[in-house]
Amino acid sequence: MSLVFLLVALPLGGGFFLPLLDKFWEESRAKELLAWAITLTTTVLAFLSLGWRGIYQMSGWPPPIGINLVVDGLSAAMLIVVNAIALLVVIYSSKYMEDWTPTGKFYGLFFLMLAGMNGVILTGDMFNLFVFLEIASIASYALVGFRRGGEELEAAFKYLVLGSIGSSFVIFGVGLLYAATGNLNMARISLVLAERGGGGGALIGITSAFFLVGFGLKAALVPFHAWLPDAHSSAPAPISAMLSGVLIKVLGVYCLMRVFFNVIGIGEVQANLLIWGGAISMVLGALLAVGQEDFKRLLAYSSISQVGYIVMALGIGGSLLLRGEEAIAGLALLGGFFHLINHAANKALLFLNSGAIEEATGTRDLSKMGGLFHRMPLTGMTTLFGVLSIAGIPPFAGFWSKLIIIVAALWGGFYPEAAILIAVSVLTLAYYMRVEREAFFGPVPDRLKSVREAPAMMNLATVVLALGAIGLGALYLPGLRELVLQPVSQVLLEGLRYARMVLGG
Amino acid sequence: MVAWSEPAFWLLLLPFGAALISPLLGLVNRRLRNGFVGLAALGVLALALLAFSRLDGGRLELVSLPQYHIIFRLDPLSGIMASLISLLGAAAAFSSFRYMERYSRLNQYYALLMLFLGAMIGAVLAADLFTMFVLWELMTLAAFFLVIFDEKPESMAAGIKYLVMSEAGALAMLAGMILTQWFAGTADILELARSRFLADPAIAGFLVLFLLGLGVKAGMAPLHTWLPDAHPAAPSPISALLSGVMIKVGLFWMVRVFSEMLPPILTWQLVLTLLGAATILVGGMVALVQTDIKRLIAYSSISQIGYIILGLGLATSLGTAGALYHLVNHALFKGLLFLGAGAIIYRCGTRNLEELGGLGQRMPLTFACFLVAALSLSGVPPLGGFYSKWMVYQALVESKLAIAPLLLGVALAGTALTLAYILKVVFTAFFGPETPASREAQEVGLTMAIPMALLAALCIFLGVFPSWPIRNLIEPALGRIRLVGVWDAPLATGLLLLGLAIGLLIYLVPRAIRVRPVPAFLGGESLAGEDTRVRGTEIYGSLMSLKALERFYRQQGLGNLDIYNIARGIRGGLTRALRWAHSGLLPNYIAWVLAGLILILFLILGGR
Repeated sequence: MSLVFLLVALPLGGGFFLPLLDKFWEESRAKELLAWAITLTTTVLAFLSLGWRGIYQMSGWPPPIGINLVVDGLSAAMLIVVNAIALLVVIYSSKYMEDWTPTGKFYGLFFLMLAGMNGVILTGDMFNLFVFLEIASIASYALVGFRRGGEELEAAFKYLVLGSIGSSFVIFGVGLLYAATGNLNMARISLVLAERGGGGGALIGITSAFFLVGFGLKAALVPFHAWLPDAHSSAPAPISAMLSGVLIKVLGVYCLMRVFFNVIGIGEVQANLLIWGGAISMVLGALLAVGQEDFKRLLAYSSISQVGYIVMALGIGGSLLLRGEEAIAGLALLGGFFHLINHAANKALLFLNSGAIEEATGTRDLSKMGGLFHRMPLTGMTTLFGVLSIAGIPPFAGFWSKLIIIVAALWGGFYPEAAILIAVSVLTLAYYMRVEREAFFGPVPDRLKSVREAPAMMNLATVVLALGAIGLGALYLPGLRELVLQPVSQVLLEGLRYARMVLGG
Repeated sequence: MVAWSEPAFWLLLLPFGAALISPLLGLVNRRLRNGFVGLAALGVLALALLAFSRLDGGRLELVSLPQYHIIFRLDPLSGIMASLISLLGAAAAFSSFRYMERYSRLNQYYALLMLFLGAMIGAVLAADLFTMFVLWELMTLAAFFLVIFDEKPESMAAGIKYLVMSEAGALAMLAGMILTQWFAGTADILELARSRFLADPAIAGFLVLFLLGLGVKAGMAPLHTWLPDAHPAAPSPISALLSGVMIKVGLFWMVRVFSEMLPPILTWQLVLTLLGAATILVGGMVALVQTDIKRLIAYSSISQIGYIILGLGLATSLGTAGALYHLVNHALFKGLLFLGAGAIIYRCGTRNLEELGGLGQRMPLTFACFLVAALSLSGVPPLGGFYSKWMVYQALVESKLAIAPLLLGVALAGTALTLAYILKVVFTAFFGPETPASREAQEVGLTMAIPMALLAALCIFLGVFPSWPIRNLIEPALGRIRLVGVWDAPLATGLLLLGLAIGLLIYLVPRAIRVRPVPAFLGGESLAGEDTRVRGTEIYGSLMSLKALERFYRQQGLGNLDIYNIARGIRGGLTRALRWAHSGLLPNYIAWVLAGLILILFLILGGR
């Protein structure tokens, strides 16, 4: 798998090359074709990396000295999620972004963001992680403001300021970690801390606080969530799908996973912070989503709520791990990652559909929609699949991941947490049903009589995602479980094995 | 293990297959589809009866894949339910052919109907808690889409209320199932019933979670509030299925959990009997003042469900048997009442009792069937409802619970209320002067009449030959019950008849004291009939102004007692507070981040 560097290099190259095409072939389809080719290649590579574990040494320098890319169960699964969604988003964009003049700039920023995300997932170096995190973040700030309306720019500015604060805490944390261990390589840091034996002193405590704030902000955990509803609803729909579907999960959740489970280790307090941060995000996000009239804002608040599920599962897993109950901890972590996959697919689907609806009806205001099921049956159907999956109705995929999280919570003795998980599920169903009622059911209002079904290219992406909304549940079936989900929880459970694999010990 | 050769296995699959095929046929031809749906419904019924009769009191594994938590099993108890579901399913399918003609998107309708049937049959044949949960949710979902089928705003509100309340209950129940699996190590209901893992009262406490989920579905007060909204909103054949069998699936699982798994525990007996009693009273009192025929029947369902829960809660063999028998009877007569109401709505185009009258002559068959159902509902001998209510009464008389006399009083009041409200429907709709709406009405066609006649015949059969169902249905399911002859227990019989007499009085008294209406005379011109006739619907109006009840009726009418509205109110308050906090000002948001940092630092560093 020496080709793994292409996962970063190809999008990075695309990011620089595609905007140039604007200068020469403004009208040509070459940009789209190139974008498809890049994302298709990275997706195939991501799938190929499944089951392979090892490191790629950049420029041939061995781990402690050079920067290395690491593929293990967690990063492989994460890469598949990111690149598959990116592929579908590119397919969707080739139609959706048609009327926007600077498509080269769009793809340029898009691929910078993708390169940043793939880099964050693959890198085995803390400082390098920060660099890629910033590449992805800065590209996303620009993409949020891509429409250049007043609202969009305001949202981008808020996102920029708050995002930079988050990034600053990450770099502070990296600095402190370097001060404490004298290393930037994740595996070395992990070993050094392990040799000192547990705890790690006040310096590591402060580092973990900084990482919680920094990555927590990228993951939009309450109270660091305030940028998300503006940013995710202002971006063009395919970008919203990327932001809510994968960006917050890579920059936020994945980094929390990697750092707290494989690098600095999770403590009792940190685990509880994850649990309750997740719980508060779940509740607040859901309560705020109920009150939204703007379809995309509602989806954005829902993302806060759903990321809360994932983070709470991580916290529960960490807490159980500290208690030595590995079996249930594994279940919690597996459930959390399963939910991450499901939410990525479902939320991307819903955001893409929100874009199709906005284009067809000219509004994002739910109260101005109605009867769209009759005018846009395919979009209505795919949205319904996404909604039922996110709301956790069997046999849709979202049900199974929530089920596993709830099982882990109850078997681990986290009763109040389980009650919150359940209560928020009900709220989620309630606000998504409101979407269905206001936008999709009922008679078609006069002003929407001429609405047409979305173009085939856009529906291709959403139909694939809708099939995912029902089919991804199969990931938990024995056989498939060992392929994707189990390796993830294995990596998280055996913190130090990561270091041994990287350093060849 | 999959039992391919068993009819019961195909009973599981046939409705789902029909759900897939019928819309495809519908694309070709409407009549072809209807014919296919009718055949499929009859096929389901035939399979259910065949499977049930071949069972002969034993147990039959249909699908057994315990490693995936998929187990389906036919036993006498689930056999009763599967037969009832397929019977009412067939009745609903045939009534739909004419009734649904005025609706569009019928391909979807029949597919959903078949899906709904299949999910219900699956949910009763499921023998693993998790299998049951998935089918249970499928049933909820299918019912939701059927309730909102006409896409009117009030139907959608009712459907969403139903879905959200069901889901809240179902997830609570799911937590209960997960804990069951944890404590008992299995989710197979047969092993759970054998293991008696609930003998420890401390563990049995988590059955509250099951009670929430099953109670919502069954329409148990105070979780019943979706029912009077959803049942009238659905097309009438679907209302018959909802009230006739879907809420019974909830009750059926209450029997499974609270009488098969749970050993008698005093606390649980008190909880269930008191909830049952409350359900009887709430349903009956609210039914009394309804003017929408389907809403009234829906409240009546709640009240009757109360009897079933009451019988179940006694945890005696007679009480459980009475509950189960009342469940069977209620499925038949309530399905029939809704089909009858559907016939009336089909012909008169209104659900409002005030606009109905004099249908007895116009629709004699509907009238006769409705009357049989109404009398069976009220517990008038010799109809099925009498016998099952009598069993519940008798179980109460024999019960050693300290609150048994109180419960008996409630049961008595419930019987009185039942007769009073159903007489109101019968007299208003079928007697009295004709109204503009009912003037043009004629008898319904065969596809609607035959299902009604069949159900009415069954109601009579179960009452005239009560020992047949007891011996052949109830006893195989629950084991032998000590049965005294019908007339051997004067106290229970006397009380039941007393209840009926009181009900008749409630009905007659307000009529007697009202001034006899005289046609108004205005300058030689007589007014149109509607304004001068006795409004049968208002005969209980005086009840609402009674001091003791006035507050209840007023708050109930405003929806303030509705648990769903209460939850929504709380949620709304929280949302408003949060929205106010999200000012959109960047400095505030930065302050939140810093506050979060300080808190996290404090917690991490303070903890060491």
